[in-house]
Amino acid sequence: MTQAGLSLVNPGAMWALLSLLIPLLIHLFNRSRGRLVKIGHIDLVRRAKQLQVTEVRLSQWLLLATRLGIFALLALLLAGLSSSTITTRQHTAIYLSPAWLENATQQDLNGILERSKAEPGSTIQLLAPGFPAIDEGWLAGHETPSFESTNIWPLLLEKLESENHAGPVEVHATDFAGQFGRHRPALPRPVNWKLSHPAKPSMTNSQPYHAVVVYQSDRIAELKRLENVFTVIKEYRLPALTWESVAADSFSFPCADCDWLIRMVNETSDEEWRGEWPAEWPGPGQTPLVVLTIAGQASNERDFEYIDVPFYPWSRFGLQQISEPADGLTQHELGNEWQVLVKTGQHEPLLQQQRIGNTRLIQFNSRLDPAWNSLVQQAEFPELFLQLLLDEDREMERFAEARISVDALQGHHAPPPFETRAEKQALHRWLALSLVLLWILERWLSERRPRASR
Amino acid sequence: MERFIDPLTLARVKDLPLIARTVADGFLYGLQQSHQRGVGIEFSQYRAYEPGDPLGHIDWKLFARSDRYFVREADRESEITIWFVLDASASMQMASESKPGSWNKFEYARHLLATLSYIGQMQGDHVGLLALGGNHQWMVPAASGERHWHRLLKQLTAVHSTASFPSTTAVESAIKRLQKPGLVIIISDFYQLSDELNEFIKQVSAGHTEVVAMQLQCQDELTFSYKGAIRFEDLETGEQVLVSSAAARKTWLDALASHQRELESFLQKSRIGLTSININEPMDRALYNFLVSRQRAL
Repeated sequence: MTQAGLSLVNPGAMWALLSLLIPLLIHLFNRSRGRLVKIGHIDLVRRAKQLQVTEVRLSQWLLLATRLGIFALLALLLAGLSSSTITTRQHTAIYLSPAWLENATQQDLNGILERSKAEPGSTIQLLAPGFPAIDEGWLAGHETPSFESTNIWPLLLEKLESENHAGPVEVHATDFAGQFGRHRPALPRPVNWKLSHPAKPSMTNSQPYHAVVVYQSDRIAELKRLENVFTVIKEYRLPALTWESVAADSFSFPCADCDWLIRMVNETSDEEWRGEWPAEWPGPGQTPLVVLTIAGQASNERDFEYIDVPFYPWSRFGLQQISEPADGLTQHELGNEWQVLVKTGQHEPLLQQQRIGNTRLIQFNSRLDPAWNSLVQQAEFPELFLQLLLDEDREMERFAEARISVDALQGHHAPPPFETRAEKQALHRWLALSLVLLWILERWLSERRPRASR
Repeated sequence: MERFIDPLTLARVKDLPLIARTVADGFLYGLQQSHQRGVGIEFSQYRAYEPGDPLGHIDWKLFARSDRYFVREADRESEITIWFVLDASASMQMASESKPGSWNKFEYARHLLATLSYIGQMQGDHVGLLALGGNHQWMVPAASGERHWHRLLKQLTAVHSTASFPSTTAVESAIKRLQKPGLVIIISDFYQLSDELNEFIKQVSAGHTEVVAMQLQCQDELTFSYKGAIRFEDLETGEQVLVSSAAARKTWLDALASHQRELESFLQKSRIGLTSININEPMDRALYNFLVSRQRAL
């Protein structure tokens, strides 16, 4: 079943609908009941068929409707009205990931095909470009494809958005996280995940990371947001990730098993910050891989601006507040020059880092607070956060091949943050044709209508 | 170059005497001085016969002596009395909407009358004015001379169109003045509520008076160039009729043709000549045509 919908390419142009006021005002100010013409001898027209006032009014209303239509069509033309077609499926839709197909045994394949035969109307499709339908003929005519590098997230998303599945949706995939790509999408509807272990030996477990979050007592809300981010990362990227939260008052070096140290403390002075560090720092086995300091002192309001994230395309966020850099390590005798990763329009450092030994010191001069910036509310923030903490590509590869659980895949069906992929057909030709026809009708009616009465 | 004066140009000039003189002098220039022959006419000269001259004008005695055809010409011996009757009913306010800024029928009639009276007084004729509209009656007794002409113009500017043409009983005394020998020129649109205008013409033409009818029409009236839904209002009665112009066009033109036939028939019975003038065409051309046609008729 196919459902048609309408969408706009440029919704902002709908402001042009305000132009509808023009014919409306003209109509209101010009409600004549026929143009008045004074003549010398009424007998000359007495025998002509007389009009009723309602006929004149009807003509005027028709003219008004035509003019409103013309302006509305113009607005829709500017806004780029297009129709989107969504196909609805009533029966079970089975999608196979290329990795599953590559690793499936003949028995697995037969089981799927027989199920499909037993349930008329059900379909089996491969989550690969073109979405080939899988049946015995296809399997006989094709070599088992190698789609190890295929990211099934966008493909699945496209299918779920362009086809309105009324029946159940099953996705058969392996439990390697690698096939799901590096970005977490939100699917528009729930699917039944059928994860299976491939026949070949599984990859090694991901590196177990341990994060310690040091927080000031007045920054509990930020702590909660950070914990949510860690939850997402654990579900989709690092199943072995663990973290703990420590109040600033009770925290002290050395930080045992501390891979990432996240500091949400309000710095008071360089001396105080310097005092937290162990004297022998960096000492073997005691220093964290990353020390991330998230904004110190609160600052005054500043001008709102948008910030582009240079290492994550198409991602931008609004920035409302920025703090003075918590420059505690700038003067440290071991410190090097700070490398500014992200800066504001006024060249203030927003995100900066420097490396001391094996440790990366990172300072984010804003907070995980929507009043400071909109970054924490954006879907890609967990991914950005993870990229900041993992600095080596090999680490990315390592966690990408980590196994995932079905539980981790279920339940995240938030509205898609991505552009809808339903098929769109521009309607500008039809709109232009309608516009011309309406204009001709308007001219014809206008010639017949009375002008302003005198 | 256009020989006649554009009516829109004249409409912008507010000086009535100036317009009358300009129009009259313009078309009289080159027009031959009228020479007439007949009883009470003083001999002027002989001229050679030209094809088209009536045979009755040939002096046969002179032909017998000279064996050549001569026509006897004479100057008019005495002036005549010309009465201008102006229809000052409200229907004369009709104008062409398609010609914005142009005169309405009444304005045109005033200027036409001023010009004709100027020509009359230049010839030494006695000219008089009678304007009739509703209960009003504006009259200037017939007399000659430029001073009199100015008095006539002064009265003419005081005339305004109102109501309908009066019944004959209301203007009985005025009619009696017109019934004396002379020329009566009636300027009107010849629209009437019943037959008050016809009755007036009948009574005036009953005496030894020659009557000439000058009918004023406008472009919109002749072509019915209206568009859309039109609410027509009678200038005299205020009655309104709402019609679609497309549907009413044929009815209008048929009714106008019928009205014209009836008018011509009526005037013909009374031996009254009719001159129809389109007020949106140059006035001097209309006058020229009128005077030339009268010259031929005499």
